Amino acid sequence: MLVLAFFEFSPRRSGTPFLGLGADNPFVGLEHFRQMFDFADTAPLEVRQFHTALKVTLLFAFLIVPLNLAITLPLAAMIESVGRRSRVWFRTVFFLPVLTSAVGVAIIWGFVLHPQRGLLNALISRVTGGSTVIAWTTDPNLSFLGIPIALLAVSVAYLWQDIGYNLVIFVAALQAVPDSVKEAALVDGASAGQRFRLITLPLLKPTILLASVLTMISAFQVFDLFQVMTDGGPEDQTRALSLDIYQNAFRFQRMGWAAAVSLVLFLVVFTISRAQSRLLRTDWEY
Amino acid sequence: MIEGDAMTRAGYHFTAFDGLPYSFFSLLTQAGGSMLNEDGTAFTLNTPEGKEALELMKSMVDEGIIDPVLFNDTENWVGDCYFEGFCAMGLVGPWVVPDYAEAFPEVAGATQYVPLPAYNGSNAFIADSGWGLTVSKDSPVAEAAWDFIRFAALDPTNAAAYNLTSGTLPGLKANATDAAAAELTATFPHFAPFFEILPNGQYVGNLPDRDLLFYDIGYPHLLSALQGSETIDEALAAMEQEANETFG
Repeated sequence: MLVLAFFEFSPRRSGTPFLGLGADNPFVGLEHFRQMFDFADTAPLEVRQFHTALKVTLLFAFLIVPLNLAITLPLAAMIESVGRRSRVWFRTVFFLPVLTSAVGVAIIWGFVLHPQRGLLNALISRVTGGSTVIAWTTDPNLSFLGIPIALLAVSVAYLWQDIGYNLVIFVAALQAVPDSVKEAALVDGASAGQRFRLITLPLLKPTILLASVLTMISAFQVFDLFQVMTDGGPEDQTRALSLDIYQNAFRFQRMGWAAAVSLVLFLVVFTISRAQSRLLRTDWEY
Repeated sequence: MIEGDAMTRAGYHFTAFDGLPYSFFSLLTQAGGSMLNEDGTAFTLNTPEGKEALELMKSMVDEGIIDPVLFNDTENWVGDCYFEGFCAMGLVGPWVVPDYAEAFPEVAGATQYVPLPAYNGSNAFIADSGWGLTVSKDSPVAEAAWDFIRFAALDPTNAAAYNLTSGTLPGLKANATDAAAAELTATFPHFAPFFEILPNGQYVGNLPDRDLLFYDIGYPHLLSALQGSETIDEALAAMEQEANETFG
């Protein structure tokens, strides 16, 4: 990938016997990366699509991480507070979607969100008493707080599949919080909310860091759900970088450009993960 | 069929990945235009003929024949849509019928292929070459490979045998008439209307990147124009600019 990013490489063209590089697949140096900074309306299609894909991916990742943590942390605390048998049952139920194939999840959510036969529209129709036909994943004019509904639809499907992973991590971390600390706070008269906010949450900081970094990385890598649920549409509103890379590399055979975009994706994930680590770093352990 | 404000069943589904570009390029040709300039070095889509073609397609949407928001390539794809009873007609290749026949035998049995009506007195349509055989110019056995291709594809008897085995339309003009065509029609009755329209077919031309033109340039802009997100003029201008970029 590193090598291809510096070549105008396509397997459809003939190169030299050495990996097919050179000849009709010429060395272009940093040209791909220079093109990425061309923000003119007349920039080549793949450059404009890259800009869109970068925006979509960042929006998706920064939507998923806080939502995931906001759901999994309280849920883990609730599961931790129930009896041992129920805890195992809840953990299993919430972890099952993680084990499900992403393509299967995408197809199921496709059924749920189908405009004519979908469960969601049927439910809304039943509640409102009217006939509801909403194209959740294909109407380019639908948005909520400026976020395209199609992107939110994929986000919901992804959260449904992914929350079990962080949930298990948080349940394990909660079990590791020493009882002595919580009991001392109880003796001091701290309420349940205060104990969670002032004792448990700070002690979970390293786990929150781990979960947020892992979630961020996996959110940047999501491909299957976008490919199956929306294929990047409507109007590129769900064109994630992973999908952009796939389409350039394997549908249109622009391997050199796709490799350059992959490198950018790696750098973005690396930079954001480093920033998260610095932001949530703690100098102590318990 | 409209329920409330929404279309629950479409009349004619032509808004999928293949259907949209094929419809546009064919109508553009029937209107008297051409996809490419005379020497094949530039696309000529943003023309009065291109506008006429897209306006006709938009009028079909405006008249309620199809809602391109609810029926496109991602949602209610033409094969699913037709066989599940959500579309009365659809523009799609003949491979779809045997593909769905097992799950929907009654629909498949009642399905007929028909030529599209003429526009502007013309039945011309644009199509690419179907599946092709290629040989790398770097291949050390290129001549032997070309010999095989000549044997398999250019010999009428062998080419007809291939069509009979694979259920495909003949690539050789000689096999599209007379006995060879009759034998194919006897084996595959749904081929009959295709033989009627084959003489109207025009080669799509030597495109720099056919898939890029159809799927990443044509489909999104045509769909946006039909959905109302782009005006017809905007869609045509963007398509022509992006299509010409593919020449490099």
